Amino acid sequence: MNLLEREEDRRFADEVRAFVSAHLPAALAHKVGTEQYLDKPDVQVWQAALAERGWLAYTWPEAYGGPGWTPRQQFIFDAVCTEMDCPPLNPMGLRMVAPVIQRYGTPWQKERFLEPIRQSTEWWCQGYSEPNAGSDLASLATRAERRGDRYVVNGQKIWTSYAHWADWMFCLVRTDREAKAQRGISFLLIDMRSPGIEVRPIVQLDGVHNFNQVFFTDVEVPVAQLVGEENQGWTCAKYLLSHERLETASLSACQRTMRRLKQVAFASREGGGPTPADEPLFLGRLVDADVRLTALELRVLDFLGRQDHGQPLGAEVSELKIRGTELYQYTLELLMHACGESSLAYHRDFVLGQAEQPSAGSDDAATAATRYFNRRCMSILGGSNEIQRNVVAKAALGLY
Amino acid sequence: MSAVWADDAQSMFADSVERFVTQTYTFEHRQQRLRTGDPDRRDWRQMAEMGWLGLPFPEEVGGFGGSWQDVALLMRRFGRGLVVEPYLPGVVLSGGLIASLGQGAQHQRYLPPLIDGSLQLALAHETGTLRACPDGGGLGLHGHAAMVWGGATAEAFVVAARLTGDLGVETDDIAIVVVERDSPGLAVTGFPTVDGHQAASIRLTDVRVPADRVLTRDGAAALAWTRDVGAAMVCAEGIGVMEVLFEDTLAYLKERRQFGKPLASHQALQHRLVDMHALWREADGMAAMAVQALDATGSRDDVSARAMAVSSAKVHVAGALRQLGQEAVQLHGAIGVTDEFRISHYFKRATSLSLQYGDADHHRRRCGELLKRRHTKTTSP
Repeated sequence: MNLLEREEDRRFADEVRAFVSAHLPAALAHKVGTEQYLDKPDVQVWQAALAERGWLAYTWPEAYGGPGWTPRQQFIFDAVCTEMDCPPLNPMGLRMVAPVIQRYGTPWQKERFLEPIRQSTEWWCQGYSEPNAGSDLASLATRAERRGDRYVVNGQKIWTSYAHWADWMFCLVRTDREAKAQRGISFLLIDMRSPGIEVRPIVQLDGVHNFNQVFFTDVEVPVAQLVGEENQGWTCAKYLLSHERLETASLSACQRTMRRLKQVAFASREGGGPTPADEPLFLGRLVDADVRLTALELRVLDFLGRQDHGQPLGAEVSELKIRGTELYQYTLELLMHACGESSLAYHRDFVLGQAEQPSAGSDDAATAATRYFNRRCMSILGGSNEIQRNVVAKAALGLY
Repeated sequence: MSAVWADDAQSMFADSVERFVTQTYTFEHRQQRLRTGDPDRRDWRQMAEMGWLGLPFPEEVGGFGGSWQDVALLMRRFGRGLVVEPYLPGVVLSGGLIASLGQGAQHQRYLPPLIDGSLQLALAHETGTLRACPDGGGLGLHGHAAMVWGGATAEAFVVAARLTGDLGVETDDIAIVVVERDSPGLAVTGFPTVDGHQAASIRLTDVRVPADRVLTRDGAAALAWTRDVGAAMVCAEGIGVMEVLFEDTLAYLKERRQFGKPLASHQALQHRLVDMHALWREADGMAAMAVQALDATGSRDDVSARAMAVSSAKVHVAGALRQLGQEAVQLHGAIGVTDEFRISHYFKRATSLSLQYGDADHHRRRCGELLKRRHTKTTSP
């Protein structure tokens, strides 16, 4: 990868590596490296360390306390953290609601909410999808009725990641039932400790609890927590989508998995015997994944170069999400195959990060199948790959 | 367009090639050429006049000192224009071997006429079936090659053959020589290829090669380099072919109406076009990476990095050529399989390119071996 072509970029990468070496506990890195589930305290250890250094909000403008890194430096930081098995940062507050508050928030909202996000003292979740509003998000029905100086919210959200960790939710609600879909939606900040909120866990097929349903019964939300104008919430939501385009490529995840895949594929077995890579057909598929990863890296670098020059990325950047998630899923599938049949043993405690090692077999094998199962969600969340194709077809190719 | 092709606009050849391909070498011109042949080599001579035949060679031997990126930009446009001239095998690869391995007299005999368009060369490198043995001060050649691109019209052949000892035992060494078409013992059978190009099968029966026609007896590295150049350049040409496969299909879906609406209004077709687009854009970056690896390997000694770049690119580009070629035909409906419309011709060239200088499996295997070497710790005994 040509990411570290320049001396200044290499020096920056070394600076990041030094920080990570000094502040990332080895046990936590191991948990991340073996794809075990990370609980809130795990992530908080790392986020707090970054926050103290002023590096947690590394994508924020300097005016809001960001370290003033260029897009390329942000990318390098992300790449080094992936390489060193740092826990992925919780994006809800840092990368999703913060830019919206910075752009559309009132002075009070900025003062109240941004610093706790920057310091990792408050956690957020995203209230978007509903049982009847997934890809068709604009048809959402959770309603907020204005009563004096507050909104009263009734309805429910689903697939709410980390709602069970969150102190706050940024929530899309319907404030005008007469208006056409997008035009009646508002962006509210809701305290998760409000009376009338119930969080119910949704367990995924690998046993992990990450998603939730959230039910609202007469939840009162002060009007001061409306972001932007009433019925202009869709604008805020779209602003969010225009950010973070390169991150949707799941490049870090692909790189991490590819690294593990090569380790497993080429590692000599104890007692001799063929490695997975000794099977030529398997090696061929590994090569295919490696080639696709190179192609994805080059494309991401190309877009990064455009960002460096302040050029717009264009709707075709949605292709990164499609190709990146499909590649990520493919590499996980190959990793499972490399681990073989023993990946089918279900080491629940280890998978959930509650045991230091599986009761039998390797760490890699213990999470290979469950991780493959869990990550089938990547092509569905964040705008399904089918929707992404619609977006490119319309906005980039002008097909309709 | 990937940023790595960014110097495109500044390339001194870019404008003239663009004009040649869009104004002179139109699809109709090409079709006419295929019908009537080009016995006077008019197109080839025009390319010579433009200086393109000298592009890949250093100025010291009468060339224009172009970089591999310059050559690749040319190849890409030849891909767009479906140019059937044997530029890659005849000029870039054959000429390249003479330029890099030849001595003064050999340069003098072959390079000026190659560059001015009066001599055509072809490269035979099927070392599995071509043999050379010592014969006095020179070599004796024996064997055959089935697919010598540009061989139907070539006046001389650059031949790479495996050296055998006096008793016929094969060695690891590769001899590279020049055999002129009228050499006794050389039989050439020319034929058209499915993509509008031409090639030949050649048979050598005790063909005597004097010492002054031997370029090297230690040519394994040079041959490997040449094949990598070939693979990288077919990737570059393939990008040009893919541009048209994609653009034509996009335009067709928007224009063609059935059931009272454009084909483009069907989501299934929209999605397939997006997948074609994504694959093409990735392939563009991979081809550029392969070409950059050629320019970067100045001293030609970090072979494994170059090999990985070229082979990775060929794997990806071959897959993209296959998918875009097949999809473009499919999405054009019945006209996609006619000779009259140009899309089938792009499909055929795409297919041809994917098979040349090692198919996807060949390069997959090569990448696998490189990865294995990189990731396997050798334990000392």
